[in-house]
Amino acid sequence: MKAVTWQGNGKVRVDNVDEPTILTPHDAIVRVTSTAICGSDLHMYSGYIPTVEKGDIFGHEFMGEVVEVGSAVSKVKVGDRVLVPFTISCGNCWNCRRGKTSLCDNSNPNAWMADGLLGYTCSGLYGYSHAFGGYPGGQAEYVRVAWPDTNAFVVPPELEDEQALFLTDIFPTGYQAAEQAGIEPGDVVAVWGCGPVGWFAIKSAYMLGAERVIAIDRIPERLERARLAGADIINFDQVDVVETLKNETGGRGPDRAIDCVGMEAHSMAPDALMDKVEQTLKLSFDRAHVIRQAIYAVGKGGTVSVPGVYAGFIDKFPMGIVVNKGLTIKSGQTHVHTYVQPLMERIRRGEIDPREVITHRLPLESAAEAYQMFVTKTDGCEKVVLKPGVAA
Amino acid sequence: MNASRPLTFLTGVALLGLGGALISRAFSSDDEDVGQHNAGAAVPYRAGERIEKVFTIDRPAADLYREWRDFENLPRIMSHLREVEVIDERRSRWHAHGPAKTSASWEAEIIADEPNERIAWRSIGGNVPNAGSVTFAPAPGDRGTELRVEMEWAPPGGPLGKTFAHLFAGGDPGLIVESDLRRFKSKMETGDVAVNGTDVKS
Repeated sequence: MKAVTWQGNGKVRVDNVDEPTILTPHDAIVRVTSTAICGSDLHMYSGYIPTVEKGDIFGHEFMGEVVEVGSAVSKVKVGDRVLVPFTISCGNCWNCRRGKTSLCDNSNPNAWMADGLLGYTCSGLYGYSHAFGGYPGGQAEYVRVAWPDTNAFVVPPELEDEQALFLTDIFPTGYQAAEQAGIEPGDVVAVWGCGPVGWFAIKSAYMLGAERVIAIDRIPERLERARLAGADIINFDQVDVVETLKNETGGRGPDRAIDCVGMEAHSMAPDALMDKVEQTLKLSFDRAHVIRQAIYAVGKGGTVSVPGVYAGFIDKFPMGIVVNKGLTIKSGQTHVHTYVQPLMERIRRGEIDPREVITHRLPLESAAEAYQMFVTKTDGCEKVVLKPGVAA
Repeated sequence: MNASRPLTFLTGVALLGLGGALISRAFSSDDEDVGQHNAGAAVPYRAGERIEKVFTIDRPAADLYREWRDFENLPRIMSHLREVEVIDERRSRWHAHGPAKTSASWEAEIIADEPNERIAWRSIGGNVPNAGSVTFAPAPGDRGTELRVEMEWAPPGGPLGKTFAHLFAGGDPGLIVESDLRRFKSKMETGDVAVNGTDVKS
């Protein structure tokens, strides 16, 4: 079958590889009909995530048709049209049973690697390095799904692929970020990063009662999309973010800050330039300018919510600000399973149309070109949906 | 399991005996006064290597105890154990696959068996001297059971430890036992163990 494989920094290729097979009685094989490239794929693409190996199959946002199930699978059936969360849940450990599925104890077969990096592993993730499970991803014609009774959600026929696809990651990720920010009526929410996760965070913040959302980016198309989502916008290339936020909030600062940027922040600020040097020299995994700025800019007693991906240790972390302003920091990989049904309901009711974030639809064979476009943000590239089985 | 092959073997060793190394207790303290020499110890006091690993498993202690106490079950979890033969209530014989087509077997005896709380063991004679224990304690907050394994064996290099050192085949015994306990936890909680088909196979 065809699959998107990593070939080194800044290089992916569509390879012919073996089709996945049922490995345990609790497995299913899904024929992928739609799969998206995520901003977090770019962290791997560009070589910033450790334990990615040549030949690894990328892809953690995918959906399709179940074509085979193992003998212990009872709910999911061949022929079901399903979406699959990027965080893999065993469904039975203490965390999974409480809906904290991204903290699953049992789904990372390489837990020992992640334990070394993190102290304790998060759940296994599809197509996201060996430390996070080594699972072949879904940017492929077929993918093996572990514990499908817990991890495969049937998509009703009235929803087309592109409406449902982002329930695998970025809609729940933006929503969880807004939810864990603890938004209360009257709150002003600042969102750093207006890519697709930022867009979903803006939409979700309003769903949860935000009075006003202020969105920060520098790419005109992204800022325009944020504006259309109802946010006021700040272009950080043109104005001072901290001053502007202060002015815009009556001198209080935003009540909640959401960092949808993570480890590859772009800025000319001194701390950011130092981060760039350290990351290039492999002294640090992360360029952490946004989290520092968010902590500085947020108002007293505020919450900083971090859906953006950070990989490791950061320095110059402004802990004194956290202490003296009484801040709360919330983060986490997304407990996707907990949000799939309620957010699918919002899509069905027409409260949100996830298709608005899609800028490119391409055959799977065009993946190399798509990654290149996405990483350079050429042609307004914000969100690519790849279609396996569609002629190039 | 390819990656953890030499490792898993160790766990076999860990489970191997049953019975009770009070040795473990003596070793667990640095206090000189606690050094109660255990005349029957398989590993001479303070002469061995020691590891301790603990996992919280979201199942009642009784379930976990039952699974461990029925040693003939264990090769299904510990893929490098070929077979465990129960000889009688206290004694059993363990056969394990070592690396490079080698194998080893040894007899062990239970020296403590407190249902749902603790099993301890030591080897009897042979060239794989070891001892250990597994305890089952309720975890706070309805989180299941804290399963703790302590093991000791004669150090690599010494005459008694030669076989053991060989069986580790350069692996880290702590990681080996940890990996096996993690698989045991997954098996008990989900009925299965996660694999990815690439570096961890079923």
